[in-house]
Parts: sequence; structure tokens; C-alpha cells
Amino acid sequence: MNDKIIAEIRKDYIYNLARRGERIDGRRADEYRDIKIKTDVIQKAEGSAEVMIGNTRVLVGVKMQPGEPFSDTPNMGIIITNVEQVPLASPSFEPGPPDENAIELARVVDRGIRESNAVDLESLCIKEGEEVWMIFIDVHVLDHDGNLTDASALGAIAALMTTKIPNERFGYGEDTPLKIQNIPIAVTTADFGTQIFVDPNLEEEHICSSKVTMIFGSSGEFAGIQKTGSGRLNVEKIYNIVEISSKKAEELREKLLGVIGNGDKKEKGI
Amino acid sequence: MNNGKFVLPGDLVGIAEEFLAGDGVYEEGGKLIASVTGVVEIDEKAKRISVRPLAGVPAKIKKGDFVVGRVTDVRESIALVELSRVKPNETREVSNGGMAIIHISNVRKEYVKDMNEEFSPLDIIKARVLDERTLQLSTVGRRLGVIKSICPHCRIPLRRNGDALECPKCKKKFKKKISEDYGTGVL
Amino acid sequence: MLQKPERLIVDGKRLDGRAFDELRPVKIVVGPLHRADGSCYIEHGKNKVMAAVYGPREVHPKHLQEVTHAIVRYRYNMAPFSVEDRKRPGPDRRSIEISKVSREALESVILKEYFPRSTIDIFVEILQADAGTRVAALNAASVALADAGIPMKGLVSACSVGKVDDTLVLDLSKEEDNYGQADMPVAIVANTGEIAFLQMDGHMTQEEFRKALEMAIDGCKQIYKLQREALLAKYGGLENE
Repeated sequence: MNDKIIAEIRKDYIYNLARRGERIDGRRADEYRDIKIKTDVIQKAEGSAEVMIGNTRVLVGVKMQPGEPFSDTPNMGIIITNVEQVPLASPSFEPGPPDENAIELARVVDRGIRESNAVDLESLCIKEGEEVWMIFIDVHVLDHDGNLTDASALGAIAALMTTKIPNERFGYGEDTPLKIQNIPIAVTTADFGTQIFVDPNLEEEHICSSKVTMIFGSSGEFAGIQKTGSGRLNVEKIYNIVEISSKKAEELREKLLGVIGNGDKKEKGI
Repeated sequence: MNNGKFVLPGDLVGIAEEFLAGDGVYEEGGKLIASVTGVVEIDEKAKRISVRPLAGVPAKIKKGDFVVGRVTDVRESIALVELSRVKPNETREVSNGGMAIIHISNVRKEYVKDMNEEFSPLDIIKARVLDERTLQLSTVGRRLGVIKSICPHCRIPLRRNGDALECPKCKKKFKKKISEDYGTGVL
Repeated sequence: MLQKPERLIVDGKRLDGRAFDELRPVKIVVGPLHRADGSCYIEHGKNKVMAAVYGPREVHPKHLQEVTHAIVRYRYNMAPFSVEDRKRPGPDRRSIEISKVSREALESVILKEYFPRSTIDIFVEILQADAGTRVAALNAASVALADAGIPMKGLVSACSVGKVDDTLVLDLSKEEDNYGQADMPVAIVANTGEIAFLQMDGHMTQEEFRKALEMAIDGCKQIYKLQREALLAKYGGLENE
């Protein structure tokens, strides 16, 4: 069965709607699907979060262990971000090593965390040049209905915000919370010619000419940008996307702080 | 066994001496056993016990289904079609897909002289399934036929102009078996 | 890491307070995933397991297809964060073996001949591991198959029995698994009582084995009840049993 044939026909339909400012699922152009964030869902992980954006669902686990620093940064901790698009999440995901989509996704999530200085890497030095903390951020995609990027990025920072450094397990005293100094938020938009839609669902994602992910830090500064897809965007459109995305990033950040500040994280199940 | 009873795979629903095994029921050692999750349905007249599924149902292409596909080859009396999803069960992949065939006698109600005037490779078509085993299709009907097509020279989508398709650039016209839904994006 | 406790059974009770023949708490959710054709989430003690079923669908690569029946594929996979020390992503020898025997257990009930030339794909993700993941995975897969409407001769229900401090106990905990003398995961087809899956690791006498098998089958039957209740809750809401 070839899904691309259907997509080609649906393309006309979706673009026709877009011309009238409408979307297939009835959302406004700048409207996210329902977002749910739960933290502390995996007790074996040092930090964890489950994020749902509509039907899209990702689980992020943070593991930490001591390791050798890179020789050019002997006093800094190491962050390694990995995305597993496990075949359970979509009929199109195949078992095997990460493909180019998974690698791109992991690198965009990583970029936001790294460039915003979300984690103070120097505070993760145990003994300069010999031992530093390594942070593994593992994104496990469970249900793929579009916009994995925003869900993964949100899950990654939420998991980090609830991470405890496992000092005790490695004989370094008591566990301490990982210090977070910035909260990067990723917002993805899709280009539909006359319209920009935020949070594209799976079908919109297949059909749009390009997507742009913009990542903003806590004071509204950029922490990363990624254009993906083979479409072309003029400068005016880019400015338009910046305006829409930065506004949405603020809303998402408030939502995240609301969840992590409140008792919601006490919920243990998935 | 009661009509309407909820059963799971493995539940005994009857004995083979009294009833035949219908859908969702299999026979083993004289016993009739449910093979799917659902409710028991007894047809006293036909002496048949079935289980009407309540959970998912595997998707199979069946006679009468509407399908969408892309023409991959046109020969003297047939067109070959690579199938996409089946219409009535759009979210689930089918187990018996593959290459389907439109025979020249199943293109229109009227007599068709030249298959190449009706379809070209790369056309996307909507059709009805005539035979699920051999995947024979028919495009007889107003809403069936080509729903998207590109100009073989300019490689851009053709537009509908009256009862023909026209290339917006080179203005070449094509007759084809066109569906009413051409260009609307409606499946 | 866990410290080895001096004894795993104290005053006739297990360390977590369970009786010898008592399961850990089990929670089953039918159909939590949107994309999959069938799915199931199970929490079994601290194990968290998600299973999804796709198909029957076309086989890729094509040369794997069988003209007389569907092929079945099963992938048991542990999330990197599911265990104490991060697991490297991807299959290792242990998960390949578990996947093979689990697939065979399910193949014993799936009516494969209904869907020639197709594949039924079963994916199980261990999101958190805490002893007994392969049986929890099988239980989830079995319910996910029912959720997908795959025709089966019966549901597969699995449970493990082990030997700790010379005593047979049902459904090993992490400590009992690490420091016990034997672990025996078993799966049965509930309606016939036939065994579809059997492994044993460790040592037991023949007499102990017989008793262990009886205990395991009893545990499987308890699991079957829970699977049945979960499917009834999702699909049989209005019908009475």
C-alpha cells in the first residue's frame, strides 16, 4: 500500500481549506492541540516526563552516570540526546538504528537544551579532566501523530527539570536536584502557502512544503532554529513565523511551569 | 449459549453437531470456539454461530470497496494500478493489497476503443473492487475514474475544462475517464 | 545497586509482604495508543510495558511472505531508561532470544492461515523493568492482539515462578530475581491449560518443578482473569458476563 498516493489527493483538499484559513481538524491557525505533561513517570530514571500533544505521545527519560570528560572541555559535564522512533509508534517506523528523521529530531532537541545553557555543565564536573557527570536524554516515541519535535523538546526539558543527580548510587553523597538555569521551548510551524499553521498534525506534516522549528529561551531569546522540508520561505514569512512562534513559546512555558510547579507531577502512572 | 453474550478468543460458543462455524468462530475437536472479542450471534435458520467483533477488525479489500491507486502501466486492454488505502477502513493497512487491474471492459458503461485515451501512467484513480482475489477494478460510475493527473510534457497538474482535462501551460487536451471529484481533493 | 539481603523469606513471608502464591498488583489498559491497530499497557508491580500490534499488513521485504499463512514478528525492546544503568538502545542477544520464544508462544494461538502473504507485527516496549518483563510483555501483547481483532484460538497468559531460600514463590520481585535460586516463566492458553511458553533458569528438583509448574499455571489463570476483565471493561460495558 502506498500512502503517498492518498497524500497527493489530500494535498489539494488541505490547501483548499488553508486558503480559507481552515484546518482539517478544525483548529485555528495558531492553535495547539491539547497538551498534557506528566513528570516522574519512570522511577528508575533520574528524571522523566511524558508529553502528549493531541494523539502524539512521547516519553523522555534522563539517566546520569559519571564518565570521562572531552579533552577540550575537561571541567564540563556531557549531554547526549537520543531519539528512538520505536516501531510501536507508527506503521511507518521500522526497527533498527535511528534513521535521518530520528537523528535530526534528536539533534534539534539537543540544540535547544545546549544553546540555551539550560544545564550548567560546569557544575557537573566531579574531578577536572578525569570525571564528570554524563546526562543521557532518551526520547522514546510512543504514538506518532505529528509534531514530534515540540513534544520531544517539551518532554526533554520537563524531564531535566525533575532530574535528581544520583550521587548516592555512585558514592558522592546525597542525591541533589539538577540545576536548571534556562527553559528552552520549541515551537514548530508548517507552511501552507497563504497560511502558517502551528503544531502541524501528521497529515499536515506530510503535506506542507516546509516546517520551521524555533526554540526560545526564558527571556525570549533564540536558542535554535531548524527549517525542515523542501519548501522555500521568503523573509517576510520568516518574520511572521518568529512573531507567531515566540508568542506560542511563552504560552507553552507557562503551561510547563504550571505543571512542574503544581502537584500534577505526583501522578505516577503513564 | 445466548445471543448477545460477550466472548473472548478461546471461549466455547457451541458444538459442531448443532451449529456451523460463522465469522469469528473456529472449530476444533467438535467444539465451536470464539476467535475474536465480541458478542455471540446465533442464526437459528442457517444453524450458524458467529461472533460479531467489538474490538478491531483486520482490514481486507472486499468486493464493492472503493479504492484509490496510481496507474503504473497502460497496455492494450488493461491498466495496472498500484493501490493505496481502502476507503471504508482508511486508518488500517490491508493484508491483501498490491497490484490491481482495470480491464478495458470495466472502464465505462460505453464501449472503449483505446485504453491509452482513458488512462496514462501516474494518473491517480478512484475505483470499485469487482473481485477481491484477482483485484479486478471498475471505474464505471460518475464519481469513479481519474481524480488527479499531470501533463506528460510539462509535468504539472492538469485542470478540468468541461468534460476534458487541459494542461494550463501547453493547453494540450486529454479526454480520459474523469471522476466528478477530479481536482477537489475529495476521496 | 541492591544490597543482597541476608534472607529473602522472613517469618514465612516475602520481603515485600506477599504470600508465596501472591501476584504483585497488575493494572491493564486496553487500547491506549492511537496509531496502532491494537495496543495494551500493563503495569505489573513496577514493570511498565506498552505493546502494539500492526496488521495483518503487507510484508516488507517481500521475500519474507508465506503463501499459505501470515508471518508473525515480535520485538521485545527495553527503553534505555528502563533500568538502573542506562541500557544501550537496540536489540542485544537477550532481547533477541526473548523475542523469538515469545513470538512462538503467540504463534501457537494466532489463526495465521486466515491471512496469507501478510505479516502481523507485535512490538513491545519495556518502559520500566523490575523482574518478570518477558511475562508482562507477553500478557500485554496477548491483549493487544485481541484489541486488534486478530483471530486467535485463545488468549495467552503468562506468569513466572521462582525459588528463593529453598521456597517456591509466584511472580518474583527484583530482589528475589537477583538473588534467588531459580526463575521459571510460563505461559498458558487459558481455555485449554496448554503450555505455550516455558523457560527455566537455575536449579530445582523434579518434585519442585512439578509444584512450580502448578503454581505458575495458577498464576497464569489469575492473570487471565485480569486480561478478561480489562477487555470486558473496554468492549463489553453493556453486556453482562
